[in-house]
Amino acid sequence: MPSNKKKSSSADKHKAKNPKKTVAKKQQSHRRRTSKIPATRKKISFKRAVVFILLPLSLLVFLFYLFIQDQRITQRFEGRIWQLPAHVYARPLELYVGKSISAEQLDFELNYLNYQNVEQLPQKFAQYRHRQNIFEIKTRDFIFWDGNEPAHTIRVNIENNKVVELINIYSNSNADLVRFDAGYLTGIFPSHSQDRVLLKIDEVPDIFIKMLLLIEDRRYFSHWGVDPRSIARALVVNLYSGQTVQGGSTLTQQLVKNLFLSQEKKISRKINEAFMSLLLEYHYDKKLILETYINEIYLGQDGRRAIHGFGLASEFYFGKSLKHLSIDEMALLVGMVKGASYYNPKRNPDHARERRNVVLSAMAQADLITSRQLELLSVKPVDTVRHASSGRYPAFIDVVKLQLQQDYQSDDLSSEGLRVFTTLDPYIQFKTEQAIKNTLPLLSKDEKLQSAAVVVSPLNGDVLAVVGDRNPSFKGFNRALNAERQIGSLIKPVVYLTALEDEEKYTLATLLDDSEFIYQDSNQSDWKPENYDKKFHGDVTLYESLLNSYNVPAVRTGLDVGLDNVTKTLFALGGKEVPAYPSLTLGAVNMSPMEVASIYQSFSANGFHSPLRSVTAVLDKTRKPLERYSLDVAIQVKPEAVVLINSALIDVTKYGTAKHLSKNLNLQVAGKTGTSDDLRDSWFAGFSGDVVAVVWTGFDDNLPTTLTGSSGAMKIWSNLIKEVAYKPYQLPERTDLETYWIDTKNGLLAEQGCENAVELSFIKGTQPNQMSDCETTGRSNWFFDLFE
Amino acid sequence: MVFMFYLLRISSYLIFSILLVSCASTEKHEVYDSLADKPAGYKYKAWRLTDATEFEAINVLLNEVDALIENSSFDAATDKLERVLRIRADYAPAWSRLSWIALQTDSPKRSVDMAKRSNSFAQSNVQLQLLNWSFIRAASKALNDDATYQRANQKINALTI
Repeated sequence: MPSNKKKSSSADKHKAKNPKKTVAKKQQSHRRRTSKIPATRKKISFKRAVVFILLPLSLLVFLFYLFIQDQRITQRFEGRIWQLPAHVYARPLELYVGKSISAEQLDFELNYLNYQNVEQLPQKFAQYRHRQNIFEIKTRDFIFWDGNEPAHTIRVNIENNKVVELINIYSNSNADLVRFDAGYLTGIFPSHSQDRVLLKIDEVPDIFIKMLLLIEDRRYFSHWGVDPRSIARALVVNLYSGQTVQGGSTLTQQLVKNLFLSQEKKISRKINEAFMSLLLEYHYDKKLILETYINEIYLGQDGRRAIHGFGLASEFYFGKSLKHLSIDEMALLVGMVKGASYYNPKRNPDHARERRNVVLSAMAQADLITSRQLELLSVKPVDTVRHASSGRYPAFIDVVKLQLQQDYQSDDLSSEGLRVFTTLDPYIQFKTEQAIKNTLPLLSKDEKLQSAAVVVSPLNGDVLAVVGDRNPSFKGFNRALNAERQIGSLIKPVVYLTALEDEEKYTLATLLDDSEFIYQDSNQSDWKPENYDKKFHGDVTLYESLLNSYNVPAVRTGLDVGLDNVTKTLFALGGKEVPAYPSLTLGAVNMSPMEVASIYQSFSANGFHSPLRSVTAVLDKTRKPLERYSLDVAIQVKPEAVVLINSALIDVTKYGTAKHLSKNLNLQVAGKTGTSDDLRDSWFAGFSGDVVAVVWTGFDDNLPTTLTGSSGAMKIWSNLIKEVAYKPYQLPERTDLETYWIDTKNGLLAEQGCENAVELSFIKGTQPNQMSDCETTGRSNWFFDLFE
Repeated sequence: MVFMFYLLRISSYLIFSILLVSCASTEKHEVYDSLADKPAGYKYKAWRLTDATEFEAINVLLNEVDALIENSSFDAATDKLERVLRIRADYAPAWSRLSWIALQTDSPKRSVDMAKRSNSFAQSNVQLQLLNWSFIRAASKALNDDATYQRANQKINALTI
């Protein structure tokens, strides 16, 4: 209005100064006047426009904004809220009377499972008391692929490395079979590395919910997502103290911030947060929002793995599920919401304890606990479980991923919350790592010397342990799986097995020609294989040739039986397809330790091959069985011929190239050394009654070492087997086999006392039918024994 | 009277002998004839070893296996049998049961392999070998593997003599 007045007065002045232009001016003035009326109208229209256009437009924009936010919320909540990593577990330990296990191993297993060693009889889950050979244990319940295994409270008595007594403590009855929970190995994470164990609201103890709401949002069940009273209270408190000491955010707002918004402190973020909280509450039930909050909240870091949700946090910090936590432990977790890093009980136990006591005091004030309970709980120390960081056993996890990739997309592995049950034996894995770490420096001071090892079960091909580097926790190149190196003499049992399958022609006593041999090929230069000792030994039995790992007889035999047949036998034993070159007979073929383990598993099972497996079952995120990998077995070689080879492999470890083993080990094993050209690779592959192990040592750049199979890999193998094998390898009873004493000088039947006589196994009817003249070939042992 | 007495006595001996023979032959035939007749839930005598008492755990698991087989829960039964084998890898009856389950679940190749594995541990257990060969025979028939079928027949005949 004032602007109109101003305009009319200036027009009057102009009129006085220019009288000649009056008409025109009048006309102009009239025009102006006439134009003034619409101008006022315009002003009115503008107001109207504001009211009728801009406001609705703003409203539309606001509604659009709400619509967009609403879409964000509903899409997230009605789809998959989180990408859940796969959780990978070790094999569960099973105890029964007669089980071979040392007290040291059981102690290790319990520590591995984060059981707490206590002084008194264990009262809580995952506790144990160990006195001499007696363990009293309260196990955790656990959901396996075949159902839930309830918790047990048991007494275990171990004598001479065997369980001799297994008692249910409370019922004082025999416990026939107890299966422990499966130890967590690692997760297969999505790129953001968030990890969580989802909880349903019904699985969360009531006291925990009360505690959480008491501390974080007392009016949770009465507000609509935003609580003006809390905001006002926080405002007053913060103004009064001059700094931000209290937040007014509801649980819903915290959840919205964590799920949808950034952590920046901006008013725009707070506004978004408020509206989205209202929308969230409008759409969803309070219980669902609370459940989501319980699973979303960030509660610490484990290396790269971010610990989210109270479900995982309770397992990570206390080694048990939320429902099994004590009140002080729950209070500690609730206290951590304020600052997961500052109140981290592992890193800052004092801060965590202080905060826990604040929570406990608040509980006492709210009559959730008594003052007596407060007194008792406040003085309790902060006990968390020792926890090796996740990402252990990278070499084994590589094997697991390889198996799973046959059935699952890699995205599914890191987002579907699968529970993967593997075959890893934590104790054997630990001992394998120790054997490499402790033995390798004794073999060479060169820190570039590398090693890899694979341990599998003879029974079923279960992969029990894998080490892929001299530093077992190294996550780089996995030699156990990917280093394909020449296997040297490890091939010889395969060559001789091919021969022994032709029982009409070959037996262990068959004489082989160990004299100079030249292999001529029109396309290539002549090949002259030599023995390791650079000597020729004339006629030697097949048995001795294998025992001493002579090269020349192996080449002749391989060529005689046919190289194609050797490759077929290799494949039938679980090896891969390889080209049939003559040098194959001396192991000039590249294989990884894992591939060698597959072949030697067949020997250990007397010809029955079980494909190596590292995964036994997969459950989905609701713990329903998804996939089961059953035991598989097949036989494509003559088992009686394999037993003959195994009888010779036992003698390799007693009298042959691996004879030092018999000095170090107290149980019967069978095995074979392997050395490639110029000592570039040192191998040992062998088995007891309960484990098959393959060890390789060498340089990554394929430079020569100073190690043979027996001076290198075999020493690691020996130190490993000493720790993990309980059962000797015994030849199976077979009615189609017989043993005879044989004179190794001529391969004929001999008297037991004959100097060169050895007892060899034969398929019935294939033994020699002529007797050796022992007097001319050697001395009688009994005669010399008299004087010795 | 004396004649009648001896006649009665001889007759009773005869009847007893016939009963004995028929019982024995029933025992023999139970093993391989029952395979077709009673496919589910049938507990073969050879599936329990009396010397397994060393590990009571095995008996517990085998009882669970029996119950699962009766409910045709073959996957779960297979899982329990694998647990048995982890306790005693050479427990031939467990391998035999796996062979039988494979037969029930249309996996004849697997059945043959499992039965062979069982036999490798049952060298002195004729009853179990006979049972395993009957599984192999049934499986090889399903596989149209005539050679294995004939060999299984020969083995069964040899073992029943």
